[in-house]
Amino acid sequence: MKRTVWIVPTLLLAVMAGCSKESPSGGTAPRVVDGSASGQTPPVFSLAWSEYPSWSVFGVAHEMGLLDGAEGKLGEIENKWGVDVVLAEASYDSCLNMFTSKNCDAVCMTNMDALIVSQNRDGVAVLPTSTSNGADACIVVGINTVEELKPHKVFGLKGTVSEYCFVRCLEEIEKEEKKGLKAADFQFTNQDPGAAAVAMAQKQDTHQAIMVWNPFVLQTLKDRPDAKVLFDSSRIPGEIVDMVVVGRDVLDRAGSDKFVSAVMDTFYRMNEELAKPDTGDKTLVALGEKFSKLGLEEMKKVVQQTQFYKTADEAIALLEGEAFKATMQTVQRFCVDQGLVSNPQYAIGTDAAAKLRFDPSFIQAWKEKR
Amino acid sequence: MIIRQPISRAWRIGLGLAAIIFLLAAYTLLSRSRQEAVRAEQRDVAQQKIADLAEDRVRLQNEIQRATTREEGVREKMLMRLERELKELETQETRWRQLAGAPDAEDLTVPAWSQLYRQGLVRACTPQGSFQRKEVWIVHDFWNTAKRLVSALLIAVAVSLVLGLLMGCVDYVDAFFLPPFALLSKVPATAVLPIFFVLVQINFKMYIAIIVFSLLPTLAQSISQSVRKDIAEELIFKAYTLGASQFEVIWEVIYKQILPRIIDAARLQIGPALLLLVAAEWMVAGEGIGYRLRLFYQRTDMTVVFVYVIILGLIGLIVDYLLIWFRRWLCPWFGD
Repeated sequence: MKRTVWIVPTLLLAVMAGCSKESPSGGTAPRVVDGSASGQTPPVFSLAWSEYPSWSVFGVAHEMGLLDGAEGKLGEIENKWGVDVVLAEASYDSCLNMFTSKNCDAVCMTNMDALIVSQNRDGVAVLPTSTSNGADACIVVGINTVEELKPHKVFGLKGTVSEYCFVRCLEEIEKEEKKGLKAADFQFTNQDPGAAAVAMAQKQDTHQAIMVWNPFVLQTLKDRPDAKVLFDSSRIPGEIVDMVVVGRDVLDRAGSDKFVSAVMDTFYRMNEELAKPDTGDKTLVALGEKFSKLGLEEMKKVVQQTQFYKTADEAIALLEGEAFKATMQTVQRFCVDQGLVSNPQYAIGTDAAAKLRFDPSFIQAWKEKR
Repeated sequence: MIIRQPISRAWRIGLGLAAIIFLLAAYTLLSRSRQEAVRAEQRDVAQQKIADLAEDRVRLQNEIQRATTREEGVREKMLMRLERELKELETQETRWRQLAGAPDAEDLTVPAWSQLYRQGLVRACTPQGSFQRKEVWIVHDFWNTAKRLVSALLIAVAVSLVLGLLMGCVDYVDAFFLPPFALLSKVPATAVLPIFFVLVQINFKMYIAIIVFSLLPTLAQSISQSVRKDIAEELIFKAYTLGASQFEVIWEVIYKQILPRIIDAARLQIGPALLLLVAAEWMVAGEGIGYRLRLFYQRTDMTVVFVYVIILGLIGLIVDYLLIWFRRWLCPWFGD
């Protein structure tokens, strides 16, 4: 008995010693990069992503070994650029919080959230990944016209692209039909899109209308055959742009250019994989499994509704185009009207002083270097 | 029958089994009715579609009739298009007829046992992924969560053991730590999560910090309480009289007396710690039990969720019994 009571303190001490030894190096020892100068450990950068068609490609890239999401381990593309990309998967909200609290170096978000978030941390949008062309939709049950929607609560995440799409679609419908529709007459109610979709799939009678993004759009339509799309973002293509935004402070760190290039390499490489005639379908299904229960046919629809900017040229064309300038003005107006931002400052181009800039020069640089 | 009258062993076992059977039967009935409901709905939809298609067919046939009267050149083209449409309609019709006869819709909110097995257990226990990096969810998730939970619990117990003993033995320490601990132990731990997400880098250490900081006040307080209440004053005075040093009193008398209570206190904190951990993982983790539950909740696919829930319950039971057994083995003087 005398000896056995020692077990508890010894065990505890051993664990504490183990933890304190482990923590400074952050767990496993980093592997030496092939070909980099004299076995230095590569710089570490983190990218936060959430479950969404054009962002889950990073998760699939991890599965394929192109990237290794864990710290201290390198995939094919990381080895090529000599940089350690750490992938952090979390829900969309959490990703934004991680970015503003400097818990990650880059984040996947939409152009509108980039504008809002830039109030708290300066950012540089380096890579547009896709645009919503039907991927955000207002799904209704037993409602046939926009006017019938007025007495019903519309559930969606407030202050995000869901609300933006809702308001903008109403404006577009009003332009066509001139029925005196005003966004203020509708009851947009705050709820997580996942929760709203589940509630509608469960036939809760409070949920006659929801405003959600994919995969929830297709999933809800699959779960409830009697539900239909009242309107969707195909009315405003190119206005909701999904992108990768890097913290402006991050760009001052050594190796950040390699990090940005590695992210681009991964994204365009995945687009090539998706386009391959023999294995493209398999990759598409794997992509679907990352964020939904959708099969091949539905995933084909998903990538139509979420149009990927498949090549560097498409991305540059977007960022340098006139349409995007107009879009950002609309987005800015919306954000100010809704009280989401007080003093938005953004630039399209290389203006280094802007709190948020949409900068095509990084893609250009990647095109030349790769 | 009087209050607290003992019952026979047979009754005890029988009633226990009856409760389990009742639970299983209720689940089976519920899932059956849900499955039937979605199939009935699919059948209705299919019948509606068949009716719609029948109308379309009549319309198409009329058009074909009309097309045959058109002039040559136009007629062939129109007929070809209409025939193609008719064929398309027929394939659709056979599909809907099949569905109306044998609907294949599945309700995954309360999955049937076969779905729980095939889409839940098998999927969770076999390597998943279409490329070179495959993982077995159950191993990957439970390993990650267990790593976080066990390390955090051990650290929390170690720190609160030292603090609790000091608080119980030295009034100065008690007076210093008690006010903040009294307040902090009343704060619901999940309410503090956002602060940690923002302040601490999201990694292994963050989960440890969350659990340690939320368990520490409660654990330290309960240990110091037990030092003060569970040890008779005579014992301490007797030890002093026999010439024990300060350290010997703490180690030989106090620590040994409260050791079983520490183990019990730690055992009771596993539940809250796991609750907190799953909540944190739900929000920010890319691996672990909470992460997997979130992914499947968003898909309204409860197959894997139910499997995880059942396994969690079983593991909880086993760990509980193991710790009780451990306490009895380590501290036989304490009794049951």
